[in-house]
Amino acid sequence: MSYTDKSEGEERLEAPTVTMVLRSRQATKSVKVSLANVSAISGAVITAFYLVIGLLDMVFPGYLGTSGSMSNALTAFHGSLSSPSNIVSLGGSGWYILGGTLYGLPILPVMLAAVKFDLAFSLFVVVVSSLIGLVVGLYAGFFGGIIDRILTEISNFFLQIPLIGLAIMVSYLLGFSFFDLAIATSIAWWPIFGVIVRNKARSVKRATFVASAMASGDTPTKITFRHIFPSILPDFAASVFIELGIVVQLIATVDFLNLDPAFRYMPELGNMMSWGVSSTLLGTLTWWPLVIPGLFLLGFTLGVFLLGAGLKRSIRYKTWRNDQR
Amino acid sequence: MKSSLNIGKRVFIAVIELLALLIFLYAFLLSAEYTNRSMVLLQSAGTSMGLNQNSFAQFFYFVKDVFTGNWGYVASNYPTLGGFSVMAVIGFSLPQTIFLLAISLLVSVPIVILMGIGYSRRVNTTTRAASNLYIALGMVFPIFLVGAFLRFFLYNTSLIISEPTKNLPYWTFPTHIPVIDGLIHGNYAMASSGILVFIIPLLLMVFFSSSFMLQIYRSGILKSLNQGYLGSASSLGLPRWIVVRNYLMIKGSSELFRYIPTVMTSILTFEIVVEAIMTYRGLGWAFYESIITGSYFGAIFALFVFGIVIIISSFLSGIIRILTDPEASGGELYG
Amino acid sequence: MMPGSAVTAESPLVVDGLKSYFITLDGVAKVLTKLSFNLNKSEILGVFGESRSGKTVAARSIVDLLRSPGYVVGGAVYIDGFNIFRDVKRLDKLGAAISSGKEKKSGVRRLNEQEELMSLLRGKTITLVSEHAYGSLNPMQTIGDQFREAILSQNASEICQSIIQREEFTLEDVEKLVSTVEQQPDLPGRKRIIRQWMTDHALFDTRDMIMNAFDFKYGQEDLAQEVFFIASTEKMKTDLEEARNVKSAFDLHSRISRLKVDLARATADKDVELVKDLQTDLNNTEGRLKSLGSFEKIQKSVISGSKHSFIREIALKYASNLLRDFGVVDSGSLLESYPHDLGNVLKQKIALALAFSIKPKVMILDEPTGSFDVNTKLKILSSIKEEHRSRNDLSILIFSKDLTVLSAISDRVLVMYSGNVIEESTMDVLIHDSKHPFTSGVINTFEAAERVSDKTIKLEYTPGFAPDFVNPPKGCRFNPRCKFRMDMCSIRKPLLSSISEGHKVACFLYSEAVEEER
Repeated sequence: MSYTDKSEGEERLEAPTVTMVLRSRQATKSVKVSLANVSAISGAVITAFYLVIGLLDMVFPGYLGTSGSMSNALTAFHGSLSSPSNIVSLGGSGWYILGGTLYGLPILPVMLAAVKFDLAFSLFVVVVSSLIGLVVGLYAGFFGGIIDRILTEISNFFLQIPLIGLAIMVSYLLGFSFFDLAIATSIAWWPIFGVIVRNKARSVKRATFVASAMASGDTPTKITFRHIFPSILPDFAASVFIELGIVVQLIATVDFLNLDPAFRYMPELGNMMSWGVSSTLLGTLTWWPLVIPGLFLLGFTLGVFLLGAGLKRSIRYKTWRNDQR
Repeated sequence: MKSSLNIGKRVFIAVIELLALLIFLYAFLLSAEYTNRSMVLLQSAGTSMGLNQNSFAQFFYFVKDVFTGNWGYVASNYPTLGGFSVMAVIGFSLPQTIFLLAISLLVSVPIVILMGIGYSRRVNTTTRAASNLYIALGMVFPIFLVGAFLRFFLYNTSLIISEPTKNLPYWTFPTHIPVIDGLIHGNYAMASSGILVFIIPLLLMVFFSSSFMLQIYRSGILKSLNQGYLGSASSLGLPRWIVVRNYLMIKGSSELFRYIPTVMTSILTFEIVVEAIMTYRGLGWAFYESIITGSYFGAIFALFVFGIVIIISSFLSGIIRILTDPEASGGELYG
Repeated sequence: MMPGSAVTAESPLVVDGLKSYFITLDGVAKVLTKLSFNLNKSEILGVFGESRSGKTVAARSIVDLLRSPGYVVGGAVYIDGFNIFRDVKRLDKLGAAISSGKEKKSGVRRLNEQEELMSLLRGKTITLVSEHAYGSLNPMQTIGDQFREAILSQNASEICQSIIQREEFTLEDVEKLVSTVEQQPDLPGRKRIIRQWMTDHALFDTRDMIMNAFDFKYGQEDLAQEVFFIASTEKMKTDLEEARNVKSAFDLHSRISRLKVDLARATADKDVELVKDLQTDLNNTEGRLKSLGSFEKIQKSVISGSKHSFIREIALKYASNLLRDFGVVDSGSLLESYPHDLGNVLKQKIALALAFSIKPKVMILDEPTGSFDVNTKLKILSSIKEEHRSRNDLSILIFSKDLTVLSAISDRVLVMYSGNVIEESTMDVLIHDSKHPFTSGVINTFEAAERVSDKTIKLEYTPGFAPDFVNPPKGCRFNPRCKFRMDMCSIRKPLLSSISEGHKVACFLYSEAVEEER
């Protein structure tokens, strides 16, 4: 990747550097450093807010006044397909404080429930794919060779596929369930993490302190976990959060376009937005069924992005030897 | 010598990709048959698509159909074009997509280059901050959301423009691009409606494509800024325009080139979403409508055309890279 | 060390109390704390230091190319008498902010001004060749392009001058050359004079023939005629008008750069009169340059335009010739190749030649011979030495952890340890009579290693590692590893003091002088 690859053979073992002293303390130090960062803090607050909302009904079941499974908004929130066509405006009573949307559903509680589904989907995808990507990327980055080549080919392959097109197609025409779609997306997503981890692992591997550790006789696995892992952490964590936002955007897009009958009435932010532009509303000034869930979605993508971008900045404080080129 | 070997490699890759595409679409067809055989049979209109053979032999019929243009028909509930052949539907919609794509790229690339230059100063300046913000906005705002908001507030509220598509016939002839056809026929109402229909999709495409491309361009420039050779350019006292042009921009562009397949994929994804939301009757919209109406062949072949576009752009950019980029060494398949 | 005084005439580079800190995860690494030394005119000063003595940090700080998380926070660096870190208040604030744990960024405008000024100085006045220079070539450009850009950005005027001189030289000029050569007592000196003359007159293709003529016909009557005849074949009857215009433009531009630097210095010195004069001068010169056309356009067209191709040709020939001096034999396609086609040794020589091609006044070389084999190292060093000798105003500062490298070409040498100069002397004295325990330890190991065949010699090396910069040892930073450590050594830092003519040491064994806390 980098043109300095050819000089790898020339690098000599040097005396232990400042970084050797730092290595054991890197993991905690990087967390400390990132917290001192406005972007990371505000991002963390916002993300935590959404996480809490998502988990709330596990702590207080039924707090939203639902009955039955939450995955069908019509039944859970007492809506109906043949609801009168006048949409409840903002400032309604009780749960209708943020207004109502199609099918007579109240916006606020459905939105809060929607966070749960959006988060569930994206957390599933990101956790699964990032773990796979982490393992494969670490291995490929550190050992190189055939595994590395395979990883590069696979990730290039996946990067060339229009994911939305695929997601749309498979989910609608083949009737994928929510869970099926999540799995399919995880399969498509892991190379993104794999590439990030692999690149960072390679550059860290080249750093002198790892060479010194190898000289001291540690086995490769020990080296991997003790030295490389903490250095990769900030980059990796940053990408995890940013991808959370991107995956949520994916599922919201698929739902907005009403492409999977299985989750048509599921509380989900994209779905809610599609209710907000349904034909009965066209040509009127009823903006809140569209805008309010939209802003709520934006809040989430903004929060995770700030958190991810803030974490990326902590990388600057890593080591000084490597930066002086 | 090295070049011809590399070019051979790229041809080989393109062929493999084509094969993979065909296999995937075929697998999809098989699943579609499994879930809804009657619909599939209907849409093949009884043509010999090998539907009575076993799966393995059927594949060859499928490939033959792909290359002979026997692409089946769209479902009867497909708006206005119900029952038309898939080839015709794609033929009607492809020009609009190409038109939108071409003009978006033409506008985006200078934007990317201009904003990229903002990274050349040593310290964070307003241009750099602005470029970073541009990228951040592109990542935070989902494209469908911006499109939906725009469409709702611009058209539905009737405050600004009434829905432009209402003023146009479903298809214009001969090029199927309203602006151009309007000009050809001297029908300025058609031409201006054509422009109105085109504006919002263009803005959306330009913003999101350029934001994405800027990400890649920026990473190229930052890679260059971190390398020793930039430091040596400074210590040799080279004038700034040389540093910006030959060290930063060149690296940014080569990075962009290197990732053209990814860029094309993202742009086509944006295209599909934008067309679907804004009812812009291009291939993405045709794809969307195929999905909604359950036109299996429509979906398959629309995706096929998109896939071909990606494979060709990947192939071409690979060839160009081999011929011009000194860093594209022989070893890497994808560069 | 007082600024301004007798410094300019003698020392093109003076480093005075330079302080550079790094922000690391573990705290602030105080790498350089009051680094001070002079580089004298036309000398080659070696700086010896083991790994992590702060060599590279020093090299970069001197040309203000130290990048985050490293910052120069104090002291002065006088390049040609001009202190590039004259904004002392800002540096102090930065230093204080860093020490208290917060990284502080100065106003953007100030830093950009600084960068602009430095870009005027870097190149022609001072240049740095970093460690692993073979990695510092632009991978996206051919070698020829990189030379073309470097030479024509900094030396266009000289190239034009040489073209003009080539077109205009007469038999008389050649006769003058011959007599100058005859007055030179030694052969290498004579060859040097001839080579310089040829370069000054843009003679490249006939170089070998002219040298042969001198070899065979030395002392004969018709030598001058013969040489004149050969050299004249290279005259191209090109348009001197163009060359003169380009030369005037570039000359004016250099003058403007110099005036800007002087103006900055006068402003910092608050010399109102001088500022006024310089400003007027600057305005006039800029006006004159403008009347010739847009300088950037001229520069662009010279470096890469469609006109002035003969200027570019000469620049490339100059480059090939310089490469030859570095032992790079061009089979013809070298200038067309890209860096990644070439091996590291070749690239290293190219990078060095690139730096020499712009003819700077001060060169800083950080490990110019890298990790190559001994023969290669010696070849590179002798090329550097030869280049140095053929110019009368080039001063070189060489950093290396290899004493053999330094002993081959340095006049004087400094020993750095953990960011401080601990000994300073001539090369001879250092080898035979070094005083500081660290230096003697190194020299002893060195000598012992040379006698490797004698198995009875125990290789004594200085135990321990270079100290951590974040929590350095109190007092003298070497004290934990020092055999001769006294109580005083872990309390106060010894000051670098003279113990004899031209020999300074920072050690309490020899002087009680103590460095002030600051």
